[in-house]
Amino acid sequence: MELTRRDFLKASAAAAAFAAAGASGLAPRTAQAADEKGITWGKAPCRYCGVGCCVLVGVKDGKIVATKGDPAGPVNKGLNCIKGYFLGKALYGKDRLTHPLIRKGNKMVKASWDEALNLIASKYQEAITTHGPDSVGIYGSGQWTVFEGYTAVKLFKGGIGTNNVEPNARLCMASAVVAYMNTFGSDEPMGCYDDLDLGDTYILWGANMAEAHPVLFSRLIDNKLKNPKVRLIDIATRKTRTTQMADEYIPMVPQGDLAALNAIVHVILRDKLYDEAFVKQHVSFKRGTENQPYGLKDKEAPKEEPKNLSFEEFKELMKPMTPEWAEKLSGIPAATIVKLAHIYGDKNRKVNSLWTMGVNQHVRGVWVNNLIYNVHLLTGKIGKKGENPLSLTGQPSACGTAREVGTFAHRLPADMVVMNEAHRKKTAEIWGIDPKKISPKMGLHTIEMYRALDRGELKCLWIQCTNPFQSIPNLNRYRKAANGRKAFIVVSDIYPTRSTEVADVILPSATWVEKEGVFGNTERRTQHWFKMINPPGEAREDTWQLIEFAKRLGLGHLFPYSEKHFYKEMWEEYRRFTIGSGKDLAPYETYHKVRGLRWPVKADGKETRWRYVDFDDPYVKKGEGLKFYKAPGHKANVWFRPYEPAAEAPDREYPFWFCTGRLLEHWHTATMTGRVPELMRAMPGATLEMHPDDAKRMGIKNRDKVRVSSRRGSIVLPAELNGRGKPEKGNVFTTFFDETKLINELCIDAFDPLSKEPDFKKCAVKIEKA
Amino acid sequence: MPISGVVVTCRPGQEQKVAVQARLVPGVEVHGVLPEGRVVIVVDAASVEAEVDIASQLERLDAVISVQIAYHNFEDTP
Amino acid sequence: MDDSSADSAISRRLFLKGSALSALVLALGGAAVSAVYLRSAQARDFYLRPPGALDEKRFLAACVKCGKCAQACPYRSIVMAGGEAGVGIGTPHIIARETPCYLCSDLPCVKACPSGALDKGLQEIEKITMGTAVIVDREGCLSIRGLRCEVCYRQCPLIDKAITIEPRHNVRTGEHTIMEPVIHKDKCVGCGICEKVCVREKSVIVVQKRVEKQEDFYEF
Repeated sequence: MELTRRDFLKASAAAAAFAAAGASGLAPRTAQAADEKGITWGKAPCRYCGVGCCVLVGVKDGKIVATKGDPAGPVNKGLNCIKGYFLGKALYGKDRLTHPLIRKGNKMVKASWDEALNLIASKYQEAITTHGPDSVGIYGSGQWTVFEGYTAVKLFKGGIGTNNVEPNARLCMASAVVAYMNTFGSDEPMGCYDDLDLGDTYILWGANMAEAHPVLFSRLIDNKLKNPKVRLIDIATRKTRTTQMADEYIPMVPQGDLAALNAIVHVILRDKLYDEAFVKQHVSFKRGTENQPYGLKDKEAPKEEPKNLSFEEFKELMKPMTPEWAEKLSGIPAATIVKLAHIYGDKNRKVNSLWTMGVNQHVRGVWVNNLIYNVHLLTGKIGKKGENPLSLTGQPSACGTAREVGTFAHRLPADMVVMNEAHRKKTAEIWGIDPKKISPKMGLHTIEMYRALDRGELKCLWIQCTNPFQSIPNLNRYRKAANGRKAFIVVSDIYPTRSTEVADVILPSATWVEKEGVFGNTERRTQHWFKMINPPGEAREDTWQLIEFAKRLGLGHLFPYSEKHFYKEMWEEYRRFTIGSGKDLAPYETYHKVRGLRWPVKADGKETRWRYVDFDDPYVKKGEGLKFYKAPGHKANVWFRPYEPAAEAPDREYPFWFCTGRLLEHWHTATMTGRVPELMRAMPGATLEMHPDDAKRMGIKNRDKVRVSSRRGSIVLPAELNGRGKPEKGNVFTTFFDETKLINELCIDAFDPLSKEPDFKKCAVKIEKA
Repeated sequence: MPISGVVVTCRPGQEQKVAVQARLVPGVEVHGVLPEGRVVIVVDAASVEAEVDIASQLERLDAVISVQIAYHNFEDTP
Repeated sequence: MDDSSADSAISRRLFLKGSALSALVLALGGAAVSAVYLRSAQARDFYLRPPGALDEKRFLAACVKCGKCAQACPYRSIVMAGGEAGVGIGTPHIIARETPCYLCSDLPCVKACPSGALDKGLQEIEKITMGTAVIVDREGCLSIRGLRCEVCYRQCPLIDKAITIEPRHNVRTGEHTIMEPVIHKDKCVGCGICEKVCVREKSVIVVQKRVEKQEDFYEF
């Protein structure tokens, strides 16, 4: 319908409604934009986790005065967790950064934007000229908006000519990404949250959903409450609040997932639980390269040389991986493994697997992801409503920004890679640059970036919207390097953090609704928000900071967007990457009113809930059924991935497994939630969870101070023997939110050779009374 | 893409508050309020199903008593 | 934690001073006197006594207001009541919202008490009967409203015993769970940690006088 007829019809509709309302003789008043308290409301996705709850933000006199869960939000229908409940307060801590600061000796001195940006540009230019573009880099975030990530990628890869662009999502989702790519040829889940409503069997692999994905867990449990058939199985190295609501808890020895999953596949093959027809039509078999290093040496270069296998060859390779073999390595009884295999193979059940950091932050994290897909691909339990493997995302826009925009050392937008000439050409075309400008060489991945900084090879590093000097493993090495002034470090953030304290320049950033933005959550839902308040003092959004910096390097022409329609123009340019890719995004205005849309967005503006299937994905024609159209030959890969041990296991000297993670009350390094007094009251500091028998043997009582030490660092924490998390014997657990307890000093910077994601869940420690 | 004219009846005195909340529902245009608890809305939806969904959302808002369609056009609805 | 440790609270002198002053105030019927542990506050219906306290009547008779329990407490949870407590002036109590009892397994406060006001028969944490936690404002409880809170539950030292979560379908959204914290009076020791950690401005869960189990003619 054309616009003018539409307008006419709307006017008729309004007139009829007024008449029906009995308005004759009454002059209707305009509905005010603000409610009777003078508060105007606008929508936004929550600033915190990958669930991506929809929120309404109430603003009065230029300040957030209220928030509420958005009842119109399909994800959460008006609910939040307590982090989201206090969103309004997180922006108003007393020590909000408001001015640029430049290091002069041991002091940080107030400076103007010009001074700061000129200094940054001169340092970068000097390094680029003297040592080449690969001597500089940027470390950003899965909490960057799409605009911030896109600006960084375009500037560094298309302007400066280095691929040293990395997000903190390297530490969280990289293993999942690599597995999506090497299995399906395209990143991100084929299912969505609807699978949590429609399935009947949920197997969690090392994921504490109750605390890490609160509202999503609430949704999952409701399915269980409504349907007696629903079973939730919690496979973990520690009992949690998730365990408490699960039907079954299966304790596992760390690294045991590799063995258990292989044995499950073995049983699926042995007991003929696989779907022969499905495998024939949709699956290829491959073998990768084994015995690769753990990334413990600087510059170690792993190999992956895939070989094709036949189904028969694969079956042969799987023969030794019996449940009895897996029991020895995983601690899971053989009978339980057989039972799990039969659950996965049960034709009368809709089985879903869910996982996050237990699987991803793993020296063989890609392999574990692959093994989970193996199970679903062999049984054909994939691409169905209510039945999918679902990789849960940690951050609010690890999907939307880091993964989709490609803010990684090897990536370009929309699943493309720098190593591929055609991809570079397409990117250059959209960016309006010479394709030769984009380097074909993969840049430094996160751990290598900080190592290069330590070796004096990375001269300049800009950190935005993340806190690596609290959150990266083997922290002592890297904090020492930063404090040794081995590189010029810029940190853009909103509060002083353990990273701003090692910076040469600190820039005050705008956060969340202080700028216009877009995030993308776990289920591919792209959500937009308008700017609702001004940032404090002189704080400016990271996009502006980068473009001002670009101008000073003579690269301002890369950002020719008008001031009035800046975001729209950037969006429409970025969107071009997605059209035809299977990850299609909608025109900008589409996102203004809706509570997000799951891509690929179809021509009629409708979202896609299930990818690769003819009943929903626009790229699959009716009658084609399931089609992995992004995978070579349209076949997904089942990879042979054997068991290989952890980088560092307990021994006589360091007899405990050390695991780290999050909890509900705080977000990551608590730079935001730590400024909310109520959340600090609820959870003031980190503890060390221990098994009571281990503690008793060592004469440790609840709340006693204990010293926990690894080969890399040592810290004192109060022991917690009967808390929300109960590690198995021989294991201890702590959280990384507490800025006074840098637990990452103990963690090992070993990483998965394929994803380069570090293993935050496994290293060896000793415990003593402090 | 049907268009409808809708009258939302709410508790008297709450019209502005309801108008503010209603405006946030996707597909809703608030055209005015009348005293004694009436809000006049035009719903611009993608389908009749979506219209019904929007009406349900309006019904669930605080202080809303009823939602009535006064006008409906669906000349180009498939 | 012994009295001589540096971590231990305020010196004995100040305690005695406080007690003496409070006695003076009582005698003079005069204005409030402030000392470190002597706090003038709103009169309360219920004083949360340290672990092992006898029932209130006998406690008030037995307590010699020496302050040793407060000194022994490594967390400074125990404070001395001020003039508003009437007869209870100078007796030890805990203001959970400020600093609750953290249930030291060796019960140093009980060990320190010279008069038996804190009964030395108490040997185990689980047998403590300080009070019972109660959600006094269900409408204000975020968990009961359907949000993901349950901080009181997760921080409860007797998690899954004193407080459990009873999940039920959220009728309003139709697809989420209400995770309501439920207190079990026979297991709740009344430490007050829940009252301390509640994220509302005024805690919606408070420790009140211990609720005793009732005898029934009915078999549940």
